[in-house]
Amino acid sequence: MTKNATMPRIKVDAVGKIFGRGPQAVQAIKRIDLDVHENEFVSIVGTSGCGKSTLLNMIGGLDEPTSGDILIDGTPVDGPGRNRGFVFQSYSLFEWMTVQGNIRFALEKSNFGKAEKDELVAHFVQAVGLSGFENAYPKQLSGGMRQRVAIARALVYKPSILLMDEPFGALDAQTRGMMQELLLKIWEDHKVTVLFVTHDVDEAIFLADRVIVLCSSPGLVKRTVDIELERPRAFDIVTTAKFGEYKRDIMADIREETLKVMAMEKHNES
Amino acid sequence: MQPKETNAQTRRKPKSGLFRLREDIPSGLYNALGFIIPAVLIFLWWLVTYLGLVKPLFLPSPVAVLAEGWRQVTEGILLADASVSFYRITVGWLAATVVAVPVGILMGNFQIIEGSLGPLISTMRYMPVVALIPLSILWAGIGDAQKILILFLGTFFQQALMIMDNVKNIDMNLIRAGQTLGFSNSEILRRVILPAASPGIWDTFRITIGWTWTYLVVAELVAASDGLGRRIMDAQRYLATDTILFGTLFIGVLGLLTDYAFNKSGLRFFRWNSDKR
Amino acid sequence: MFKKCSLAALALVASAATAMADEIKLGLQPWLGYGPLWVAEQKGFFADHGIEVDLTTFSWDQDMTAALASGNLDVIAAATNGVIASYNVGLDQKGFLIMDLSFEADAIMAGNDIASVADLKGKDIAFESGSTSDLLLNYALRQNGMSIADVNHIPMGASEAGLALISGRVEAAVTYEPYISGALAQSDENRVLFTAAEKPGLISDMLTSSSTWINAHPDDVRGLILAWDDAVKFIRENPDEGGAIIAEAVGSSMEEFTPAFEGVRLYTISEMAQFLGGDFQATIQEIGEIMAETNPEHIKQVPAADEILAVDALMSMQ
Repeated sequence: MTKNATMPRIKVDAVGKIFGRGPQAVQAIKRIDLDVHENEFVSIVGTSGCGKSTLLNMIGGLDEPTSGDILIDGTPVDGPGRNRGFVFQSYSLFEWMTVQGNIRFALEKSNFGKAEKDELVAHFVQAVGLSGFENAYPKQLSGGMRQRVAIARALVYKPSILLMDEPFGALDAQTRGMMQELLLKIWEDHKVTVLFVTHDVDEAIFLADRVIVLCSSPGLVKRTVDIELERPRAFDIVTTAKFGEYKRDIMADIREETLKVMAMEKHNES
Repeated sequence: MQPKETNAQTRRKPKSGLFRLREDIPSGLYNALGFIIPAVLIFLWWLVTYLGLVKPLFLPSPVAVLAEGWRQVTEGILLADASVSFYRITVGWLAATVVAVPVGILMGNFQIIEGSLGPLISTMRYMPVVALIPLSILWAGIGDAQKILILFLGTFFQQALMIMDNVKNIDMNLIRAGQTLGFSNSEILRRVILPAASPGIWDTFRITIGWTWTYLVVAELVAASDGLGRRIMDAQRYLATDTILFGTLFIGVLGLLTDYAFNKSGLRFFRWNSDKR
Repeated sequence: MFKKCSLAALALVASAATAMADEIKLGLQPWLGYGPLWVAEQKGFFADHGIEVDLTTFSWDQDMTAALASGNLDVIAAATNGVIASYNVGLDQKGFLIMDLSFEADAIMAGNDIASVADLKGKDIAFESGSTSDLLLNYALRQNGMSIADVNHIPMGASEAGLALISGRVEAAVTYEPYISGALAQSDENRVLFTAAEKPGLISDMLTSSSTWINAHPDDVRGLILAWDDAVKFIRENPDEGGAIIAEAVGSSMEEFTPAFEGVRLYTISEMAQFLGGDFQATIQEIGEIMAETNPEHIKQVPAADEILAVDALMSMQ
């Protein structure tokens, strides 16, 4: 299958996911259709339980849809692969390796020579702002620093897609802000398609070209919002009126979903 | 006119500094306590025997116990006993460990193996090893092999289950990260799961060798002409309580030494595991 | 008048009640020679003589001795050599009743290729240190001009010793019933080489207590002796029923039990008294000497017979 200029990088085609079977079965995702294009930055938001992490795991090949298909560059997903880098909320660094050890580990399955690997590692250490910490161990680093290592490790082998599951959720507000700016810079410098799951609406809008709002129980796409804010995004763009409009709309959607969920829970209890 | 604050300040009493929940106390004090408390107990022990509050048969004085120990040292008995017992403990524990590590790791990673072996191992864990002595003679004779078997039976089952837990406790996302980086299952096992579980497994080693020590007496019940356990059992027959106490305390000290050895070496091997900057 | 009578009646009942109320805590092991104690319990002979006895079974005799020393037991069944060991630790323990003598029930067993005790030289022999087996072997070796240094002692418990022999791990084993019959039943490649029958009294058991207790409870001592006597006579007259009670108490089947039981001689009061008047004093001396010779570290003194016996009550009852 030849790569078409208009073929989406990621195609989620009528995907559904049911966990368990029989009377205990839970339908996490009813039906999601989504196209993500080359070098796009797409954020996915929704209430808890709307299936956003599940969707990300399936795109990453860590789980399988029970219905529908997921295609990467036209090829169906068959397990995890080096064309998709993954960043977890819990960093998941290999604590027995140094910063550069972790990043270098990601290159083991690449066909680079030693010198090239050294260069790549050095480049990414610098790109995430950890120069001087190459030989530190993860336990000696702060949360933000660890997440930077995780990002470097996920990008160093040049995957075409970066999947991020609430990567900044465990960080404090200031660090989170710095990490968002850093992420955008790296994305702009390294040309990669990003799918970013978060529950923070500000973060979703600030980073993305497009925000997908999922509704919950079961997961469906409620709304897709194209973010027409200019790049590069200044840190204070969150205070602009346009930003505010996007935020209001998306928050209203999420609020509606949250009330629906609460009503359903009450109904189930009675 | 006094400002209100000063009154409040002078009235406030600081809480007792040494009993605040989970807070550190000065390390000098912490270390000293470890010595002081046993020293106090030994003093009380000596006092009780000195005052004749208890019959010497029931509680020999610390002096008598030490004298017995000294006698064993000067007659070369203690060294002979300790070396042979230490040898048995080491080989017995190693035998258990060599099997427990792969079994535990496989059980921790593959539900099919956990399902097959788990219930069996969990049940056998409760078997009283003493009751298995006759069988151990039939299976392994009366030589070293039988003693190693006893120590193995006392150690293996618990150890396999603990190692299984060590492996299960590592973050699932570490495995997922390995998968996304393109590593195969066996590579992930070797290069992610094993290193991640190592500090826990090393601690399991430290704990399980302590249990092996407690089985020493059982292991030396059959055909052991010397050994720390043998000596205690023989002393029991004659109610030689000073020998019994010395032997038991000495085994305790040896156990403490192996514990310390594992602890210290663990800190060195797994420096990456400490969050000291 | 009526008041006086009723008070007297009450006092009588009360004293009888207190006489019965003190339970005697008696420790014993599942050894055939102690059989009559279980028979006495089941057939009510203790109650017949106005005593209440609580029998507790132990696996290790040193545990019983410790319990006696700490006062947790009043009376314990003990082998004569055990009492000599206690004497050397300064424990107040005296025998007031001779229960049984072991004849064939303590024995040295060996493979069929070993013809006599003299052939044991240089062989691996399994037996329990400090037990009656230890004593028997040392006696047998002494009789043949040898000592324990001439053989290779493989230490283990009496129950394991028989097992070690029949599984071919050792060349000889010294143990006691039911492990003897049990081992011989499993294989015909082994035989009995020497038994305690060659020196009656060497392996013997007594009912013991501290002299303090003996002096303070003369009625209990009497009651125990009489109940024992009744039980021994009952077993002789009713071997099947008596045997069944004992077999169950020691955990043997009747097939295992019957041959084993023949190796033990139980003594009535008159037989005990006769034995005490005869060889027993000298035998105690010999036992003590053997023990001191083989275990100089722990056995430093050989007691005279009256230092470990308190048989005045018994002798007065014959």
